[in-house]
This record gives sequence, structure tokens and C-alpha cells, in this order.
Amino acid sequence: MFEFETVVKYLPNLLHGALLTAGISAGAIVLAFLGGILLSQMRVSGLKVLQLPVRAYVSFIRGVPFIIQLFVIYYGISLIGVDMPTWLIGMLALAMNSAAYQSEYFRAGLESIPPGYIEAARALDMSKLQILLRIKMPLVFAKLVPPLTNEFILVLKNSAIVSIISVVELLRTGQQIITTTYRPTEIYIMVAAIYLVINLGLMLLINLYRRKQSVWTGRSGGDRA
Amino acid sequence: MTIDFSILLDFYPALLHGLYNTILICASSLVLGMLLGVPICMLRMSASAVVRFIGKSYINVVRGTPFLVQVYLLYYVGPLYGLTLSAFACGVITLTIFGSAYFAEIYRSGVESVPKGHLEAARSLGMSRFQAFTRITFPQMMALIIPMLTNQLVGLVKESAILSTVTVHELTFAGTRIIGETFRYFEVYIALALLYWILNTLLAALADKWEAHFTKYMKRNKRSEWI
Amino acid sequence: MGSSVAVEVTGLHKKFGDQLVLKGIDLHIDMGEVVGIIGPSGSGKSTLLRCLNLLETPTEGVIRIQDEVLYARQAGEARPAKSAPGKLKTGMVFQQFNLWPHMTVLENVIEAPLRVKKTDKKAAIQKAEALLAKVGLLEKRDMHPIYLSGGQQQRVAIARALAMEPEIMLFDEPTSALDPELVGDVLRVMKDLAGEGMTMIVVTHEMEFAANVADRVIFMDQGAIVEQGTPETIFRHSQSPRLQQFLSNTSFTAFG
Repeated sequence: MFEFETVVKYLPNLLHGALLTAGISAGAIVLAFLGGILLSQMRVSGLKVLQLPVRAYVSFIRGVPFIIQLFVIYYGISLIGVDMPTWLIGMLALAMNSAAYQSEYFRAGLESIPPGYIEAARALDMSKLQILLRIKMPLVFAKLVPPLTNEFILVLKNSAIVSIISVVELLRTGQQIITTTYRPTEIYIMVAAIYLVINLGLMLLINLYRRKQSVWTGRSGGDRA
Repeated sequence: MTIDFSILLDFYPALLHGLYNTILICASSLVLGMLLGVPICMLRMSASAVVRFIGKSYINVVRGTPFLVQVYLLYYVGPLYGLTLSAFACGVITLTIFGSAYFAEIYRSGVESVPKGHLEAARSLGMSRFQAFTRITFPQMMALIIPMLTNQLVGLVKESAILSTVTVHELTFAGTRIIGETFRYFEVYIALALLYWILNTLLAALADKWEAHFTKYMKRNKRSEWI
Repeated sequence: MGSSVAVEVTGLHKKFGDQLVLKGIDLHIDMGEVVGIIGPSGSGKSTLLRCLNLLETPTEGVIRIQDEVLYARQAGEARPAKSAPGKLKTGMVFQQFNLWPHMTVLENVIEAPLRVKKTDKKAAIQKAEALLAKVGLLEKRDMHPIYLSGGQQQRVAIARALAMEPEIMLFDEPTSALDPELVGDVLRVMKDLAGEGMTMIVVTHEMEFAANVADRVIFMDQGAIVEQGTPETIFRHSQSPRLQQFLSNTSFTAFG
């Protein structure tokens, strides 16, 4: 039967694992954000030398399971003889994965800005940098908050996979507890519940943001998560 | 350590067999997941708030937890409650459940994308609800949801690699076995990556053709979301 | 001062790919003049206007704005001479208003003075409020553009351009995207501006505005200036068959 004592007893350990899961994911999403901007700038640069590698990279990331990407990076790093803690490898793999998706969001966002907004800024003599920072970025970013939060959810879910290279995050913590208690029911359900709570929280944030943002888009808040 | 891909030549039948199983598992879960998605979607769109909540909860739980955790739950916890399944069956079932939640949401967005007035027009002409759905809603929603269904199919193929962790004999598992014999981690994983990439790229290309068929009647002007 | 040069264009060519849309335009406009440019769509009139603030880079020719060369490139020259950035003397009003949706009305108006001219914020707001009052929209200062009608948005866009204290105002079909009942308010603001002596170049479909407000009307067709003169000569004594054809296709019947 479902033993609540087990749950209560090991909850602190699980929450500790959840903290690491959240930390690795947050680190990955930040790295991926910066990487995504860089990739998208290469992609819209108009130079084939820069565009083609980005296209190949994005295609690879989108077409290959994350678990394979993780192993390629994990064994690739050991092959070139670099010593790196596994959590860092996991974070790197998550970041490299998400950067590809984020770069596509940025690209689509930049391309969807009506040229008139940029022309108005140019006609007022604003510099390229001013236009990027004051007009393009706010417009793109406002549109991207929901997909980027969604991306965070995906990274969180993918982060469970880095348990396979023995990063002691939430899932791995759960597995370690199971080997000593042999209560897989309680522990796996708790693990799932913790992921669920974090992700539902993020979905809630998306909806709140949509409602707030509608001040200037005039659109009503959405319910999609 | 040098990189040597030639060792793969000795093992390609095993890889191809793994690929075959991956396709089999994904095709089965695609069909079953799309079917299961229909009642889930109906729950989600029910007029009753209670029923709607059940549908929504199912979708949220499946989409809010990692697939790997779902697989472990069924594979390790299931047997404690008499649910003894072969690894293969376990793989198909988890992938089906996983897919159904996404398919249900795809259907919903498709149905909601069809303007209400179109249905009212059909009903006012005396068409039954069923006729209105099959003749008016369905063809229109297909145009919208096919790209999403394709994405989801590619998603299934990618998630299926995780099944290797519970000894389902699919492509990734075949790769780990070859590694067991050759200790060629890097080469094997690169080969696996290539095979998945080819499979998914082919699927996406096929789906593009299929989508073109359903969207013939649409004008190719992308409506801007900007104001 | 009365007749100093505002715009001097010589031999202006513009190609889009292989298509020649401006075929050697020569144009002289004095300060204080109000010039209306009319012509069928595709005649190059918007392109000409957009060359005057380099939204389009000409292929060849010379553009002077007041005493400064904005752009100069004669046949054979590799690199055009362009004026330094941050010194545009023109303000522009677009057909689609192009107010930035993420900023309020006031923020739209003060953005360029703050960032480009580095005006003190207090002074910029004061100036912006005065301009918004002038176009009759001060009470909308804290709203986002989406909540304004097209006519209101366009008046804000005029205020935004004026906030940079331009010497010359360029209008690119400012009323074409508006519902007919909203056109009047925008035209009134433009008329006031003309009355104050602002130099204005207006690409327009509003023949009535061209006839009543403009000092000079230019008729363009197929990338060239076909005819120009006072509204009286253009609308009543047109010489070229193409202009007569164009006028007969518009419902406007100025001067009977």
C-alpha cells in the first residue's frame, strides 16, 4: 500500500534533488538564451558561411533524440580528454539542445516585425543599436515570453534524462532512495508530482503573462500551455 | 583513442533491426495514441466542468512530467500491482499514453480554429451534428493540424529512444548492445544520431507533401499576428 | 530666408532589381513650400519620397537637403557620399502610421528626442504634451496605440515626427489607410501645419487637399515627373494626355 511515512521521510531529499534539477535547467536555459540569440543573428546575417552551419545544427538537434545528443556530448568530451563534472555536461547538453530551438523562435520573431516599425525609427534617425534595443528586442521579447517559458518546461523534462549519466538530480535522487527503501510506488509518484508542480507553476505564469501583455496587444489572455 | 567508423560495418544488421523495431513501436503508438486522443479531447471539451477537469488533468499530468519518469512508473511500479508487461508492450503503452495527451490538445486547437459561424451555417441548413463535423469542421481543421501531427510524430520517434533504458529492443538499445561488444561509444552514438536524423527528416518531408494536399484551397498569405 | 532651398534633387535614379522605378528625377523645392505629389500607383511617387530620408537608397543621383548633401552618387562612382547620421532634417508620416505598439502614445513621441537628440526627459515630455495638445490627443497620452482609431494614431504619428523639430515634413499617403470619416481630422492637422509655414511634401490620393492646400502639384507617372505647376494649372489646364487620363479616372472635380 501507499506509505505516506516514506514520502514524508524522504521528501527533503527529493526536494534537494529538485533544487539541482531546477538549477541545471535554469543554467541551461540562460546559456541557451544567449546561444540562441547568437545563432539567430548568424541565421539572419545574410551570409551563407554563417547560415549553413546554423541550419545544419538546428536540423541535427531537432531530428535527433536528446538522449543520443547527451551521449554524443558525454563521450565526445571524454574522447577529447576534457575532465568535466557530469552535472556540467548535462547542463551543456541541455543548453545546446535548447539553443537550437530558441534560435528559431528569435529568428521567427525578428522576421515577423512589420518593417514599418523599423522604418519609423529610421525616419526618426535612430541608430541600428537603438532600433535593436528599443524597438526590435521589446517587440520580439514580448512575443517570446510564452514560448520561452514553454521551452523552460521542455528543458526541465529533458533534464530527467541527464540522470542517465549519473547526475544526482531529482530522478536520480529518487532512484537512490528506491534502492535503499524499495518503495518505487511512493517515490516515483512523488518524483512525478514534483515535476508536475514545477511545470504547472510555469504554465500558470505563461497565462498570467498573456493577460498582462494584452494591455498593448489588445488580445485577451490565452489558456494554452 | 582514434575514431573508426568501419567497425559499424559488421553490425549494421543489428542496427537495421533496431530501426525496424523503432518504426514498429512508433507506428503502433501513433495509431493508438491518435485514437486514444479522441475521447481525451472529448473529455477536455465537454460541457460539464467536472468532466472537463478530468480531461485537463490527464493532459496536464502527461505533459507536465518527463517521459522517462512515466516509463519508469509503468515498468518498475506496474508489476507490483500485477501489471506484468513485456518491455515492448510497456514501450508501446507509455508512448501511446504520452502521445494521446498531445493529440487531444492538437484536435482541440483544430476544432477551435474553425469559425463558429461555419457550423451554424451547416446546422441551419439542416445538417446533423455529425454531418457538420465530418463535412465542415473536419476538413478545415485538418489543414491546421497536420503540421502539428507531424511534429508530434517526430516527437514520438525521439521519445522512443528513451525506451532503451527499460530494455525495449529499439534502435538506441541495439546501439548500446553494439557498444557492449566494441566499446566504441562515440562512433555508435554518431551512427544512431544519423539514423534518427534521416528517419525524422524523411517523415517531415513526407508530411510536407501531405500538408500541401490539405491546404490547396487556402491562400498562401500568412496572417500577421501584429496589430 | 523666404526662398532658400529645402530640397534639391538632380538626376535621381532608383532600381529595384532590374526594374527602373525612378528615371532621372530633377526637383527643386523651396523652404515654406507645400508640394503635393499625385500619380497612379506604381508611378514611383512613394519611392521618391522615401529616397529623401534614405529609407530607400538611390541607385544614382544627388539629393541636397537645405545646404547639405544627403546623398551623391554619379555614374561610375563606387561609394555614395552620405550625410552623417543623427542629422536628418526630415520627419516622415507613413500610410500605416507605424506607431510602436509596445509604447504608450507619450512614449512614442518622446522616444526619438530622448535617444537621438538626448533631450532632457522633462523637456521632452513638455514638448510632447504640447504637440499632443496641438493634434487634439493630449488626453490619450498614456494609452497604447491599439486603443486609438486610425485617424488618432495618424495624428500621434504626426506629433511624433514633429517632436524631432524637422525642417521638412514628408507625408506618404497619410490618409489612404483611414476610414473616410476619419480623414478630415488628419487633413485639418496638416492644413494647420501648412498654415504655420512648414515645408511639406505630401504624396496623396486626396485631390482636394492637393488642390486647396498645396502651393504646387507634381504629377508623376512611370518613374518620371510628367507635369508640375500650381493646383490651378494642374487641375484645370493640364497639358499631357496622361494627366488628363489620370484626372478623369478620379472622382475629384476641383474648380468645377
